[in-house]
Amino acid sequence: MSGASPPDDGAWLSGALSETRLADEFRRIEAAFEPARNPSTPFDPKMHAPEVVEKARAWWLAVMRTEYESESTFVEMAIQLRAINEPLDVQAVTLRMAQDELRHAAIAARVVSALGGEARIRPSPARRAAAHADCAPTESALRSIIFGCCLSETVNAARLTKGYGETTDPFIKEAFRLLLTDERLHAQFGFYFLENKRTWLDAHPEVRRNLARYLRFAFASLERYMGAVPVGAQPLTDAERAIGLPDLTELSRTFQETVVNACIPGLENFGIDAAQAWRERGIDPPPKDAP
Amino acid sequence: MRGMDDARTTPDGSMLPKYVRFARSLALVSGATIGLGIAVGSTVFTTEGCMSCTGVCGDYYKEPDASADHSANPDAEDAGEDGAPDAGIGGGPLPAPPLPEAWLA
Repeated sequence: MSGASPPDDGAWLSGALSETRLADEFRRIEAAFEPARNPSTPFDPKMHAPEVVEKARAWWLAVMRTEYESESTFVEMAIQLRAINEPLDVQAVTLRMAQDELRHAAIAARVVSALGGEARIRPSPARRAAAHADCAPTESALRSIIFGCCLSETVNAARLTKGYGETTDPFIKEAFRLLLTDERLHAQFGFYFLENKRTWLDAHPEVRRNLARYLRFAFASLERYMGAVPVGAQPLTDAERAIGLPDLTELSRTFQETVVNACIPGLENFGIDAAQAWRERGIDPPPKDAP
Repeated sequence: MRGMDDARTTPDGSMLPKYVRFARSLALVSGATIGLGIAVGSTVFTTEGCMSCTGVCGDYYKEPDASADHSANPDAEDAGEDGAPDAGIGGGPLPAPPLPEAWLA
């Protein structure tokens, strides 16, 4: 790793950028930020059966809601990074990702409207980051970023890629592309951040061990949310796949394939024993850890 | 019918879906992996990650845990009034849950 490292105690802020790839992202934001673009290809409803369009409309309304509601997760992440005075570019990119979620909600809203729906949602109250009372602020931030970016956003990026590849409707495909452009960063941010903290982690081997222990629970918790097939899920028809609806019967497979082949080797690159954590994952602590 | 993005191609007989390959390229974009790619001279990394993976990263594809029972989502009733769970396409980052009390001994 090159560039300035933040002080270990988090009490000071350096004016230097991190000079990692995140600094490049920061400069791109400064130089070339552009607002959300509309999909350039108009939606042609004659390409699809009305009942399929209706399902797609409902799905994109759900996407609009989840994108909007997830903005606060990145805001909370930025607050955690502010608390330990991470470099300015790291904090700025985190806030950019929060903004991305709002832009994604706007993209989804345009899709809903194009499909003939009313783009209006009733969001849940903003999510607040839960306190991790058993660890210090830097480790708490690492947990948030690993769970939010290295795991959940990496699975999201994989599924978006799958949807992009399977969708044949040009309008929906373009919407997927717009989302995927940002989701790439949202997933990679976690691994860039770990690269930025590699020296710090080298000096704190106990945090690596703690993170591996945390991952046992985190994997199980995330799997219940992202990796389980909903009751009553049915495989997609060809017409549903063509308009970009996700196959809910594949949620377990896509989750496991992505975690095992992408997330785990990515985390292991930083000396975090994610493979063993995955094998030993569970909502309850293992017997040897039980009180 | 399988979608086109389920196409699996690997040089060693194992199989890796394209979408997993893309996710893997995002996760392995760190310096260590780039070094490996340069060393073998066959993996091209772009700002988007590894887009021409040849499987040189080693431990390449692992099958999902077929023994795991994920046939039903116990939280399905929380999926929202539109019936679409948050867990499919289009979700954002999820907040890290704190360890439950039982883990804090």
